[in-house]
Amino acid sequence: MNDSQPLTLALSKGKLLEPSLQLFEKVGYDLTALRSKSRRLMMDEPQGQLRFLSAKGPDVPVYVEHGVADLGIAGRDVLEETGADVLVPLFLGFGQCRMVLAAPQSRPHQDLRLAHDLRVATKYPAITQRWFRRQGLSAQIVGLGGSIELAPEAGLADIIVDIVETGRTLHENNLVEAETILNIEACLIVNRASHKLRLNEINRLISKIAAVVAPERKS
Amino acid sequence: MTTSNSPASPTKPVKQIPPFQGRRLLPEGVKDLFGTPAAQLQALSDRLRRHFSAWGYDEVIPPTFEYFDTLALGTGPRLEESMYRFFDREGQALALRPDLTVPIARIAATRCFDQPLPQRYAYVATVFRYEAPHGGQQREFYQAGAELIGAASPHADTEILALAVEAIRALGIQNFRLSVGHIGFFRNLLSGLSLSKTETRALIEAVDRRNVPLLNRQLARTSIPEPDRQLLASLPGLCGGPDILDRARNLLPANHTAHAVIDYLGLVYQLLEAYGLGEVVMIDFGEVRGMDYYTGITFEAFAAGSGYAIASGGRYDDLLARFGADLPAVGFALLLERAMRVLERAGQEPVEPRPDAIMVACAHPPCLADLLRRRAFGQRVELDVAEKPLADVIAQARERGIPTVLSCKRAISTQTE
Repeated sequence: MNDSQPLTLALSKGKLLEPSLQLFEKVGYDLTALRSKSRRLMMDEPQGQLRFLSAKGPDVPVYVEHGVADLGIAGRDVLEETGADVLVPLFLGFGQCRMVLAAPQSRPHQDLRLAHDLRVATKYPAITQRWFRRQGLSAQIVGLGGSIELAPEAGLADIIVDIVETGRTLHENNLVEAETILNIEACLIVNRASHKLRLNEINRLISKIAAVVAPERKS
Repeated sequence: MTTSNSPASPTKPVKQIPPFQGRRLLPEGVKDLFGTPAAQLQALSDRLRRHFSAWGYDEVIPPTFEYFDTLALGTGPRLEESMYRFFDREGQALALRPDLTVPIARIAATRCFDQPLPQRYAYVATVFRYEAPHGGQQREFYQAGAELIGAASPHADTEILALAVEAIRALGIQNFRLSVGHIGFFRNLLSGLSLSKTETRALIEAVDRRNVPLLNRQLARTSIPEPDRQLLASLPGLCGGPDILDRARNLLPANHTAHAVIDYLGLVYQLLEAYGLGEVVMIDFGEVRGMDYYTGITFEAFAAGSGYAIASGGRYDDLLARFGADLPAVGFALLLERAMRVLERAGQEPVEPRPDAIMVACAHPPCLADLLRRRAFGQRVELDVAEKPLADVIAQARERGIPTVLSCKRAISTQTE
C-alpha cells in the first residue's frame, strides 16, 4: 500500500539531530542535501524511500502518534512526557543521559515522605508527577521552561527533577543527585497504523537500523 | 472541520458576541455539527444502520447515563477512570456511557437472557470519555458497532470480522487493513510460567511496543526457561499475512497448547477468505493489550489517512457473567469521526445538505400541490417564505449552489449564465 509515497521520518532538532543523521548515513542513505540545506523542514533522500521532517524534540512523538510521520527519533524523556501511544521497536544507543531528582547540597538527604508542602521544579511535569505518585508521595509541581537548577536557590522550589549528562551544572548550582528517575536514550518510534499499513517497508528499515545500532551497543 | 456551504471565502474577522466575550462558548471536548459535517455524519450513520440491519442486527438504544456502579461493573479500570461522573439529587453516583458494549451486555444479561440465542445488537451513538482529544476524537464522540451475543463458534467470530470490514467499505473507505490476533496465544505462552503481575505487565508493555531489545531485557529478569523465552521474544514480529500462522506453528514445540489457538485463527482466516476478505486481513500475535478484557480474537482496523485505529473489537466471554448471565459475546466499534477524517483525506466528496430547488412563494393551490408532489417524490424543495423578489431568489440559489428556482410552474436554471 502507498508504495510510491516515501516513508516519513520525523527527526528531533537539537542534540539528537547529528547522531540521527549519522545513523541514517550508516544505514546507507545519502543525506548531503539534508545537511546542506538544513533550514528546510522537509526533504526526501535521493532514492525517494524516506522523507525527513525536522521538528522540535517534544513534537516528534506527537507527529508520529498522529501519523503525520510514520516513524521518528525521539528521546525517552519526551516520549514519556508526552505519553504518546506509539511503537518503540528500538533503542538507538545515542543521546544517553539521565533524569534525576536533585536536592540542595545543604539538605542532600531530606526524607521526601516527611516533607510537607514539597515543591518540585521541572521541565517534565508529567514524568515527575507520575514518579511521585508511584512513590506514594505528593508534591507541588512547578513547571518551568528551562534553567531548572536555579529554582531551589531562587526559592521557587525545594528540589528539582532535571536531565543530567555530566552532573557539572548541578554541582555548579550547589545541587546533588538524590535519585535517578529515568534512563534516557534516543528511541526509534513508529506510528501504529503505519506499522500495519506499511509493514514490510517499516520492518525492512527497522532491521537495517538495528544492524548498525546493535554492534555498537555496550550491553 | 469546515462547516460552510459556500466556496472558500477569505477569512472574516471573528465577531465577538457580547455575552460571551472572553469566555468559551463550549466546554473543551464537545463540538457543534451543522451544515456539511452534520449531513455527512447523518448519511454515514444511515448507511451503517442499513448495513447492520441487513446482517440481522437490531438497533439498541440504551440510556445516555446510568448508575456509575453498573457501568463500572463492566468497564476495565482505564475506561472507568475516563467516565464522566455526577450525582443525582438523591446522591446516587451516575455516569455518562463511555461505550455501548457495557450497556448492551447489561441489557442482554438482565433483560433478554431467556430470549432465543444468539442475539444481535447494533448501534450508532455518542459516547463520553474524559480524555485528551486525539485522532479527531473529542470527549463526546460517535461510535457505530455491533455485538453478537450467545455464540462462541468460529462462524460467530468471522461474522463480526466480516461485518466490521463491510461496515468500513460501506462508508466508502477503500485503503484499509484489518489486523486480527488472538489473546489466547499469549495466554497459552504464559500459562505455567507463574509470572508475577509486575513481570506480566512488563512483558505486555514490551510486546505491545514491539520493542525486542526491551523484551529480551525483561525476559532476562524472569526465571522463564530458554525455549519459552525464545517464543515470547518472537511475539513482536509475528505480524503479517496468513503465512504468520505457519511461522507461529514452526516456532512452537509439537505438543504445545497454543497450537489450538493457531488452528482456530487459521479456521477463522479460511472463513474470511470464503467471504472474499482474505486480502484485507492481517494476522498479528503481538496484539496483547486487551489481556484483561478480551478472551479470544481481538482486532483493529487501520486506514490510510488516520494514524489511529478506525475500528476495534474482539471476543469478551467474561463480561456478561458480571451482569448475571454467563453468555459468550463478540463485537466491535467503529469510530465515526476518525472514519470521516479518512474519507476527507482520501478526497471523497462530502455529502452537501443542499436543496434541489427553491420555489417562489405564490400561494396558488396548483403550485403548492406541485411543491408537495415534488417533496413526496424525494426532491428537496425549499419554499421562499421570505417572499423575496424573483431576482433575489435566483441570486441566493446561485450562491448556495442550488440548481433550480421554481416560479409558478416555470423551472429556472440558476446555472445557465
